[in-house]
Amino acid sequence: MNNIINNKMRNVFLCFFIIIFFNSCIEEFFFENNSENEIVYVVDGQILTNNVEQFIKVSTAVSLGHPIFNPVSNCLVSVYDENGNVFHFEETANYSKGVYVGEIPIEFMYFGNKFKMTLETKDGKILESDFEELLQGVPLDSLDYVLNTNSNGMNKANFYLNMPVDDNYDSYYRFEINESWEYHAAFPIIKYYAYVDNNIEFFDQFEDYSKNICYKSQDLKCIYSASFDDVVGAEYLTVPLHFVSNETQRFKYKYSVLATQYSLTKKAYDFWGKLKNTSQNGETVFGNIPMNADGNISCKNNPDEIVLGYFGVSDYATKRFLVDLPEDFGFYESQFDCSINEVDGKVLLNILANLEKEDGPYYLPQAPAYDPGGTYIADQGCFDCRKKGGQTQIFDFWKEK
Amino acid sequence: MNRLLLPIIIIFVPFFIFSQQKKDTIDCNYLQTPILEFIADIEEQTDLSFTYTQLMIKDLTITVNGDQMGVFDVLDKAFKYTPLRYIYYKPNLIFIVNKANFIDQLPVYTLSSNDFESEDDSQLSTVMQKYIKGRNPNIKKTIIVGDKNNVSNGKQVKIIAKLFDEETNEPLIGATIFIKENGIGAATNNAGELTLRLPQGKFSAEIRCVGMQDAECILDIQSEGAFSYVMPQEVKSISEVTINAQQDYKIRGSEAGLDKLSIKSVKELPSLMGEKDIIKISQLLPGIVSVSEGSSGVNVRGGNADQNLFYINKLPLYSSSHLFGFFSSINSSIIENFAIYKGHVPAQYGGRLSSVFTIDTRKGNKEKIFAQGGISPISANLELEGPVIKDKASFVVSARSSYSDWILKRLPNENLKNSSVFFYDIAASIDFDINEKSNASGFFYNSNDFFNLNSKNEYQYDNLGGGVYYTYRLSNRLKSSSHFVQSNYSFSTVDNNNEVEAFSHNYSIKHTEIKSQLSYIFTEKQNLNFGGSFINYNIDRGKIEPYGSNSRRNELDLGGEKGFESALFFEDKYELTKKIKISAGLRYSFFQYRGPQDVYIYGQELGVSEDNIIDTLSFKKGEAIKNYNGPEFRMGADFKTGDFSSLKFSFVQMRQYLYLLSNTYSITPTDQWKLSDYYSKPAKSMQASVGYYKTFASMGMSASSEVYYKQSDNITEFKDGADFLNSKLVETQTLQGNQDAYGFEFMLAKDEGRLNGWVTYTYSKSFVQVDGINNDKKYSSNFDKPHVVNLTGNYKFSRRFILSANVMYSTGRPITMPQSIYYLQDMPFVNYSDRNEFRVPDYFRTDLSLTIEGNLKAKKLFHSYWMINVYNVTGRKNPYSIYFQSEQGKIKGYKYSVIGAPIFTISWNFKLGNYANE
Repeated sequence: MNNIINNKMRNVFLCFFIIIFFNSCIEEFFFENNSENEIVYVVDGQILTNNVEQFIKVSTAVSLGHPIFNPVSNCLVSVYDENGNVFHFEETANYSKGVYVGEIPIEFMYFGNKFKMTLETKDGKILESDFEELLQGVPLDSLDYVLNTNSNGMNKANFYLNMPVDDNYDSYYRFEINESWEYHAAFPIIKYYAYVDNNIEFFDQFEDYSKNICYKSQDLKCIYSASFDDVVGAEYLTVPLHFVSNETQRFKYKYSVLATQYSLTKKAYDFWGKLKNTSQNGETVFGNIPMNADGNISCKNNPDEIVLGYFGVSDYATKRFLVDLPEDFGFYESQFDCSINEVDGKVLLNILANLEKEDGPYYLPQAPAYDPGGTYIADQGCFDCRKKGGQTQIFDFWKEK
Repeated sequence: MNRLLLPIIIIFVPFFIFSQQKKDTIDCNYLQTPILEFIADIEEQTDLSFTYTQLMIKDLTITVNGDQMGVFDVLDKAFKYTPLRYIYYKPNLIFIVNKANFIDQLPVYTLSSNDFESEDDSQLSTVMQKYIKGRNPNIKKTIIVGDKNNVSNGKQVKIIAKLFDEETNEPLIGATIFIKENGIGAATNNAGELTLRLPQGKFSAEIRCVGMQDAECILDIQSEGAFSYVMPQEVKSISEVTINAQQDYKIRGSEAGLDKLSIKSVKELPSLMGEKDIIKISQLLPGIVSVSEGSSGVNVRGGNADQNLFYINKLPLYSSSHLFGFFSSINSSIIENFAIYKGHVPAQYGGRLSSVFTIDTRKGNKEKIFAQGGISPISANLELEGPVIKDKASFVVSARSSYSDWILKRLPNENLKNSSVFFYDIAASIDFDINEKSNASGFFYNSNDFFNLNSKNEYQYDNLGGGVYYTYRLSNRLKSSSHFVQSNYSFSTVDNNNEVEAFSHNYSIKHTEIKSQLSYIFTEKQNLNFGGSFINYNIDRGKIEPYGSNSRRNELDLGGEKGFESALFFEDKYELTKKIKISAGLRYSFFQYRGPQDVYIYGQELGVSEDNIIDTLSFKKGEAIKNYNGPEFRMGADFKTGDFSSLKFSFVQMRQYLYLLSNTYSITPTDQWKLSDYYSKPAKSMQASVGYYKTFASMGMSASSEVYYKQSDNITEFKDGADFLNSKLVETQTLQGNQDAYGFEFMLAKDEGRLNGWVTYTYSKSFVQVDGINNDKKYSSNFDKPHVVNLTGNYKFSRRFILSANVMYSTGRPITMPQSIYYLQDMPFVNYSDRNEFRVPDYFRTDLSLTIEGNLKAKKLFHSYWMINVYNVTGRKNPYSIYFQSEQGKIKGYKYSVIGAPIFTISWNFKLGNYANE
């Protein structure tokens, strides 16, 4: 009897907790701000030590419904150093609108020199930054990863960037990460439909693996920053980066990381830190209050006017890391989006009817042995790996190796 | 299904049969009905037979309204405002007589004029007791006050009355005595005492108190004197008061903005997961809101959550919630009195700008053992009380604990399976009547919460405190009370989301307080209350320490703080005329911020920032770093505009010497309390309010409305991007500014009848302005909800079945929203609006509950009741917040709802011992 009661009670409690925890919910929210926004200028300037040619981008903030870069042309842009030297920036045909290009000779790019930017817009607004000091960065040392398995059984490789801690160098840094990897299409090309002149014809051939292996590279749209101030008792500054899971092919064949480092002033570090907190952190039960990151640019005509962005000066360093892959990463093959689906013949006809010449051939998978006469389709990236954004030509850094 | 049907049939069928057999209640709807018609109607519906003279009832009308009322309830109400009364003779005779001519004086007994002795039946002979008791239902008691050998010869004399609960022997707070003949009345103070000034003679007195049976008696005033009166608890289900903002008290007291809740109001109202929660229920009163459901803390009249002082038996609570705010940390089952001072705050209270919540727990029954408890889906609780020395000393022990950890382990979700949640609270008290003049008591309290989310985040927070209390009556006019309490609030957290940056943090605040006050009845029209208090604060902001072997987090000692706050207070309550009462109080508080401490001096040009330290001042242990002091005036006035209406005014000034470091919309258990220091000045506020109160006695309804304006200075707000765990220099992360609030509050309550409850509407605004935040422009407070409508109702199908509902609507709270998107380094970012410029969608929620009482036989030893709750019946996904984040280079918005579906729960409660404590 007691067991029966216990079981009943347990079921009641179980149901209750399932209800309460699954009642908390997060839904996508679509917000349209219909208010007439004033023009808010955005300045994205970063003077770097790696190049004589420097760039400053000028744009305006755009409405939430139309998230595109909205350049501002016809501005007068200049950069001054603390010794009164002036470097003028202009829009050129070689770059898109809103990108102002100027040259700062290497002899001015010494550590300790300070720079500021002034900008006059077509409507007479004068925007000016504070002086920013060029500070020396630390050499990038090594990249490593730690393997973890989460509670769902997913394997993850968490990457860390290591830099030697040294008092001779500046304390604040921002990093950009570009990752590259090799991946394979799931199926060889055997049969396909393609345009011959203006007609679509069917082709059947031996297994073609020419579009089976691809290489892809992409920037990670995240802010990574670090400070020596947060390090204690270590010889290296360890910067947590991204992770790679066994649900993609990144870690299956080849993987590489290109890390780019920018030295920052404390103010620039705080600016990027606020941007990171505001843009990348989710919600907690207590409700974080978002805020705008205050940059170092102001409008001289109207000090109350908000100017977004930052004008910074950074020591630039970059290093490529070719990553040694783990022997057993437990890949989920089924997660690579290449299943074949049986369809009605009309579906295939409809697909072919909408096939454009520039789309290229439409590949078909081999029907399974138990249903050789069936009509099957699959994602085209499962045959031509380029359809998933990569290229078949191997990157030079892997060639060199 | 069959398993379900059987208990339902067992429960419902006997009740249904029982209901049909009962014929002692009737439905009434008499509005200005001729009394003859009324009598005929009653005679038709009942077995009663009336005897009267035609002359006596000629031209008289009756107004009484209600469903399924007891016959004698109907008669009481019907004749209440007529010159007539009725006398009942068993089995079915009713005599209608003239009130003025009817002699109803019983054999009387004389009380000592100098002592507060209760009207003890044991002083009478058995025959006399039987004689009196046998006629109690029909005849008013006569209480002789004073000494007939010391007759006052027509002069007004001072009468002191002390009212007690018959069951618990607890003094009744807010009980009223109303003298019909001259229209004067008074309400009891915290000691259950009140003072009247009457000439020699006999007077009809109405005695009322929430949850107690109304009583009428004859006061035979012979000279100055005192008497005690014991009120039986109200047990008639039909007229049971489930919520009472104590309208009688409001009309006759002199304190605007004072709300009181009875534990009964909590018992029957719907609640989340069946947890009775008086603090959550208080949010149904006008002027009290929270940021959202599930959030910790309340916001009173436009004030921040850290501007409320929670006292449980005078012990301050620095966190009043379990599970981050889903439940309060106070077990409602042990609460005796619950009062909220949000307008007029007596001078004895201080230290917070917005309100004082005072919670008194039961002192325990000094005659018999009593136990009660309950079990809800999330926790179980048990209370035990009884005599230590019969009639002298009593104890109360209560404990409540969750067993949610046990549940989590059985969930399929891996994150939750690897998590653990646990909370408990314990309270114990002992009360000792040393002699007739002195009383000593002690109280202990501990609440604790632990939450571990998949080993990534760990929170533990704990309230631990206790106190000793002593009251002594030096004379009839002078009474002293003193207490010593110590409260310690601490928390520890572990953040292991990123093992390289993982850290742990511990924090504690210790509050040690000693307070003594004297109450002096200067004249029958004037009461004085004065005293002083001393508080010592000891805060350890703790260390940020690396957690785990892979953590590279820098160790940071956030430092400690010490300070003491003392205050002297004086308050005078004076009855200017029969219709005007005033109270004037002054509180003068001192605060000293003390060493040891290093104070950093910043250069003027670059302002207060870590990069701009130009000097350091070192202070030794005990050395004064900064002193603050100032007066706080408290004034109130009560103008009685009619027998059942009054107009009240209030003006209060408050000072606050500590605040919470918080950068979230709702406060968290891990927010740090921080003292005013070298840079941050104490917050000050001024509030003026006007209220009008009216009781519609014939309808059993009451209405109140208040308007207020509150202005606060030196409110501390965080700078954009502030991180209180990354720097010990709080002054570099905060700024101070002003907060203005104003509002209108309305409440309509129906206390009687099968359907009772209340509806409230609040219009309020609250703004903050801080130079350096939001471009120096003022912005709405996080909890600013201009329109709030709450409806709470109980419908009693019978004494055993009660259906209750809450309906809540409020304007959505302010939120900082994205205005536009801009690009930096080819990544999109959100340009946010001004702080709190927009609002989340409006909030709406309906809760239902059904209370099923067990057998209500009076002499049954064991009572129990079931409560079926449905929280958020409509399943509306009320937004807690809207937030936006960058994902793969795209900005996405999300709406987060804490509880987005109906939640059905059942809880069970029991009482062991025939003792109506609620």
